[in-house]
Amino acid sequence: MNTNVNHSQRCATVLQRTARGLSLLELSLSLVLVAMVGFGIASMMAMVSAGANASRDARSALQRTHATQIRLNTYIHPALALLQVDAAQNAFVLWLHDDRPGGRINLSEMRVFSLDTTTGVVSVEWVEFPSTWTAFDKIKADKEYKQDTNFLTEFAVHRAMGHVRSTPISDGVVAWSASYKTKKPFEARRIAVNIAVDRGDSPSLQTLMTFGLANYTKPRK
Amino acid sequence: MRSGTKHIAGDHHQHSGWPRQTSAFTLLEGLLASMTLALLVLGVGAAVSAAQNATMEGQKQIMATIVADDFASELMSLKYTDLAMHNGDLQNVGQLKTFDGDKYPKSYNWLGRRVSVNLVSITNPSLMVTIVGQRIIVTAFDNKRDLATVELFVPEPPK
Repeated sequence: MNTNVNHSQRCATVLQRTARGLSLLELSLSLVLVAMVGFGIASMMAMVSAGANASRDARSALQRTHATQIRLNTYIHPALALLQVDAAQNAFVLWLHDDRPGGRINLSEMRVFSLDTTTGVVSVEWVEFPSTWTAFDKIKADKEYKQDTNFLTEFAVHRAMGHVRSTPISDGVVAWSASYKTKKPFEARRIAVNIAVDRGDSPSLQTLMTFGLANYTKPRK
Repeated sequence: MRSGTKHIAGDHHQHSGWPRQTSAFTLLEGLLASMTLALLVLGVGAAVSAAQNATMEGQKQIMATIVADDFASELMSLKYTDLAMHNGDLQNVGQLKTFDGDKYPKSYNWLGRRVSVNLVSITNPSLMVTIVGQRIIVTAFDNKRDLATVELFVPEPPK
């Protein structure tokens, strides 16, 4: 009987049984530490994610604002005059050109810009007579208006008849209003547009845009 | 780096007590682990910060372009002969106003803008034509630097 072997075997058995692992306290501490580090990282990631979302919304709002500015300027810069501003209807009317010469405002020369507050879409509208009409019919229907006409009412009549077409300019717009500093809108050479653009969970982005009428022309009547 | 106690069959040895034979993390190991974690967190933080700065920079550029475009558009509403009067117009940071005196919203308070209007003549050699007009440069800036520039040329109208 080899006593050394027996002793070693006994030691091995004892070692296996008593090999020191983590005590309950150590294990608890390490788990708490891991949890704390995990919580910290999760908090940081949540913060980063919230920040990224806010940045994305802000950037999107700014891009829409800038797109709105550029598209409105495409109409306003060459326009001849501002004809009407109606805050209640979130709309304003421009005299875009004088294609039927004479310095008077014709129906087909106007553009209506309005905000649909339910959809947040700003759109431009214009009158387009049916293609089946003869040139004479179109000229006859393309009425002349005086400076102080309620152009939006006239447009509403033609909208009901199906003669108005529209295209969107911008979306995500919460509110907007146009203003001018002269007594009458058709005397204004500059238009200011206050616009509030949706920014997700953050408050809407308030912007002021100003436009100059480079080709300003006072209507004759 | 825990080291276990080796037992070789046939060896006869003395036990001197368990606490001496077990090894925990050394101070150096602990420090290295802490440093690695700290570096990792710092790296992530720096990356996030850089991304946010880039986003903010983009937003600043758009806002600066909007106010510069606005001023240029307003200048275009003036008569040609009145343009030169606006050479040197300056609106310092936080003092943006329209021509008609409307103040910009607070979100634009960190921006300013200036205008230069200069009489220039542009010659097209192939057509042998020279056009005289006003060159308008509108620059939007913040406290540190210029952010956006809009340049226009308004030809002199026929007399």
